[in-house]
Amino acid sequence: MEVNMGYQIKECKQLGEKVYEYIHPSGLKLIFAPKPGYFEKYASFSVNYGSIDCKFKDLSGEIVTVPAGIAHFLEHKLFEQEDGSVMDKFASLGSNPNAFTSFTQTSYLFSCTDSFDENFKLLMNFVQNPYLTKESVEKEKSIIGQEINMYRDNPSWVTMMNFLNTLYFSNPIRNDIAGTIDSISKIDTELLYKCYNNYYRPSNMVISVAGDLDYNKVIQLVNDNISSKWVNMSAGVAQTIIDDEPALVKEKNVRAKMDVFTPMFMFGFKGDLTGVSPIDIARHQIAMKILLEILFGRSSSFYEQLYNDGLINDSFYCGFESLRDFGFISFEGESNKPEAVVEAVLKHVSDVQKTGIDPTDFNRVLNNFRGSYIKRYNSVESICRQNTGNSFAGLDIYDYFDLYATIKINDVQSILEGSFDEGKLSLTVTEPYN
Amino acid sequence: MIKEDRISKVTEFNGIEFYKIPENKFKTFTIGIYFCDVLNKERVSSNAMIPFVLRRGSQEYSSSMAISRRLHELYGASFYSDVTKKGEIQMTYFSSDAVVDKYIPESENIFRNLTDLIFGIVTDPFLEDGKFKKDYVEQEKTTLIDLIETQKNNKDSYAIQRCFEEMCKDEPYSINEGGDIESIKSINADSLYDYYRNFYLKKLPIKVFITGEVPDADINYLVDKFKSIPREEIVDISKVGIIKSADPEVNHVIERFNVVQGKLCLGFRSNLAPSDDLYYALTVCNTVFGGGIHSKLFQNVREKAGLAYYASSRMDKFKGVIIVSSGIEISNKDKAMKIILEQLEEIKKGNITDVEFDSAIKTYSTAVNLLKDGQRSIADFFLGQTLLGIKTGLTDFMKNINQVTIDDVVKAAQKIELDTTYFLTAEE
Repeated sequence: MEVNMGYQIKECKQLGEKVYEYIHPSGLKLIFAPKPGYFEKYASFSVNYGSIDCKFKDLSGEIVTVPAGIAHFLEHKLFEQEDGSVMDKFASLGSNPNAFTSFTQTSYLFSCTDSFDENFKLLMNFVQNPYLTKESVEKEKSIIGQEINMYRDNPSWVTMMNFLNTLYFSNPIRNDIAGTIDSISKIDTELLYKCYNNYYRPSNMVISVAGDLDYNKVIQLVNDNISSKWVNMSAGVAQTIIDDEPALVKEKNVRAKMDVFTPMFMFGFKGDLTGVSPIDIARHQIAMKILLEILFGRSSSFYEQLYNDGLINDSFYCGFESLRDFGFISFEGESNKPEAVVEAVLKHVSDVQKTGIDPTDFNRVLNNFRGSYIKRYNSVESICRQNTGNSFAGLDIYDYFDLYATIKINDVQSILEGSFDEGKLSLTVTEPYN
Repeated sequence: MIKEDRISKVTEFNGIEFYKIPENKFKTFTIGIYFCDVLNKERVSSNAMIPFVLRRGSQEYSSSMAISRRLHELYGASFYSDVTKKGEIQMTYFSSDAVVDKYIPESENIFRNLTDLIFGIVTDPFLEDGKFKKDYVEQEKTTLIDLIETQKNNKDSYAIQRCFEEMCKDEPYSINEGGDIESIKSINADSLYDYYRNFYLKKLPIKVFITGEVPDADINYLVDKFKSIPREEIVDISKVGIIKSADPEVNHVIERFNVVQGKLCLGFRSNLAPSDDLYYALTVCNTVFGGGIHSKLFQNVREKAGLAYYASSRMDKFKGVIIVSSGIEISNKDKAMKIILEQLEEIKKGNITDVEFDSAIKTYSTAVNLLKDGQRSIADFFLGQTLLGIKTGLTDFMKNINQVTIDDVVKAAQKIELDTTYFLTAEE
C-alpha cells in the first residue's frame, strides 16, 4: 500500500538512478536513494554547521563568538548519552557508526547490512538529544588533545593549515577543525548547548539514506522518530558571520620545518564567490575542474615537463576548493624547488591565456569528468554525501549531471582570466631540518 | 575451484589464471592483473620497479601524458600500477576500471579499448635502443626511493612497519615490498629490461580478475590476448608464509624521531594459519581484542583510560601475526602497555562478555557483507584465497565465523604470544 506522504520522486533515467525527497513537517529534509542489489545500507544525519561557524548572530539577535574546535567537540560529545555510549549500541547492532566535522558541515552516520530500522532509529534519536556533563566534557578534552597531536605530526596536514593561514587574514578556515589544546580548554557545557540549540535545527539539517530499502518504510521511520519538539521549533537558524576578508593574501611565503624527506609545498590563489547563485557556483566549480585539468593535470604538457625535469613527482595535485561563498585554487606536492614550480605555473597560465583553450582538450577532459561523475553512483556512501552536500549548497539532486551535459568551452575560457592574479597568490613550504 | 556463485574461473594456461566476478549492480567494470613472486632480496627491487616503469609508456602510447589522455577518451577510465605484498608474496599489479557502455550513449566498447590499452602497457612497453627508456628508469628509481623514504612521514603506519621489521628480521616478511635503496640504485635500463623480458613476463604466476557487467565475448577477447605472451617454467609460490612462533624472550625496541605523540606497537605471533581449524576463532578473537568500537582495546585504552585516540589490533592472516598499535602521550607508555596486555590476558582467561562476543561476530558479518558491495574488495578477497590455496568462498566463510563459540575464542587466544614491542618516541 502506498501512502501519499508528500514525497517527490526525482529521477535521472540515463544514470538509472532516482531519489525520493521528503520534507518532514519540522522542515527536516529526507533524501532516500534506492540501490537494489546492494548489501550495504547507509544513513547520515547532517547539519549545515562546521568549524567556520564560530561567530554568529544567535536566535535572540546577540553576536556570539565561540572557541575554535567547538563544532568538532560537539560531534564527539553527542555520542555520549545518559545511559552510556551510543557507539556501544551501534556495535551491538553490528553496524559501523562514524561522524565527521568539516569546515562547513557535521555529519553523523552509520553503515550496516542488517537491522537497518534499529540503527536508523538510534541515529535519529541520539542526534536530537544531546547530553552534556562537566565530567564528560573534561574527559573529552584529553581524547581530542591526542587527536590534535596526531595531526600535528602529520606533515600534509600541517602544510595545509599553514597554507590557509597565509591565504586568509581572519576567515575562520584558518583554524584547525579540532581547534588547539588552548582553545578547547575554554569549552564548557554552556557553550556546547548554545551552539547546538542555535544550529542543530530541522530546517538546517538533512537526512540522507541509500540502500536496498522500501521508501515507504524509510519515510515512516522518520515520521515516527523526529520529536514533536522539533516539529514545534521555529524555522530560524543562527546566522554565521564571517568578517570581511581582504582580496589579497596575508603572507606571500611561509616556511616551516618538520621531519620530512622532500620539502612539501602548498600554494594557491584566493577567490571570491560572494553573491553568486548556487547553480552558478556549481558551474564555476565544474569549469574550474576542467580548466585545472587541462592546464595542470596528468594529461597536460605542463605536468609532463615538470615531472621529467624532476621538479614535481606523483604527489603533485591541483584542485579548486569552494566553501559556501568563497574559494581558492591550490597546488600541492613535494619538490626541492617549490618556487620554481610556482614560476612554471604562472608562466604556463600566461602562455595559455594568449592561445586560449583548445576545443580538443575541452571535449576530452569533459568526457573524462562525465565518466568519473557516473562512477560515484557505485557507492551508497558517495551518493549520500553528494545528496547532503548538494542540498546544503542549494542545489537539486541531479544538477551536476545536467551541468556536465550542458557546460560549454566558453564557461572555461571565461575563467582563465582573473583566476590567477599574482596578488592573490601565496606559498607555504614544509622542509626537513637539515 | 572456489565454491561460490559469485566467482568463477574462466580458464588457466601457462601459469596465468583468469577469474570473472559478474555483477550488474555497479556502474563500472574492473580489470586487475597481478604478477606474484616470493618475497626475496634478489628480485624484490627489480619486481617493484616494473609497474612504475611500465606505466610511463607503451609502444602505442609512449608517455604518461598520452596514456592519461587515452584514459580520458575512454570516459574517465582509471589505471594505476603499484607493488604490494600479501604475507610473504610480493605482488606487482595493474588495475583499471571504467564505466559500463550503457551509461554513456555514444561510447563504443570501452572494455575492449581499455583491454588493448592495458595489455599494451603491461606487455609492449615503450623502448629506446631495444630496452626501457633510460630517463624513465632513472626517474622511477627516484620515485621508488622517495616512496620508501616517505613511509617515514606517516609515523602511525611507520611504527607498524618498523615493528614488523624488527619482529621478523630473519624472515622474508621483513623485506619491504618496495625493495631496498641500495639495490634500486644499482638498477639500470639494460638490467631491468633483461629481467622484465626473461624472468618477470616469462616466469611469474599471473592472476587476472574481471568484475562487473562484461559480456563473455569481451572476456574471451581479453583472455586470447594473453596467449601471445611467451612463458617458461613458472615460479612456485605455494610454499610461502611459514607460521613462526615467538622467541622465549620478548624483544623491546625504541626509536626516536621529532614527534609530539608516541606510537606504541605490540607484535604477536598467532601460531595459526588460515587452514587450521581454529583460524575462524582467531579471527573473532582478534575482533574482540581490538577490532572495533566494542573491542577491549578501544573500550579500555581509549574510552575508560582516555589514553589514546586510536588503539586497535590488526591481523595478517597470511603470516600468522597480530599487531596492536596506539597513539599515546609519551609519558603514558608503560600504563598503555600494561592495559593492552591485560586485555589479552582477560580473553585468555575467558573473561569475554556476551556483548563483546556478539558484537564481534556481528561486526565481522557486516564487514563480509560490505565486501560484496565493492568490486575491488571482492576481487582482493578471492585473490587472497587463491594465494592461500583455500577453496572457501564468502558464504562459507561467514558460516564458519557464525559457528565460533566463546570457548573457541579462548582456545585461539591461548596460542597468541607476544613477540616484540616497538615504541616510536621523541628525541631525548
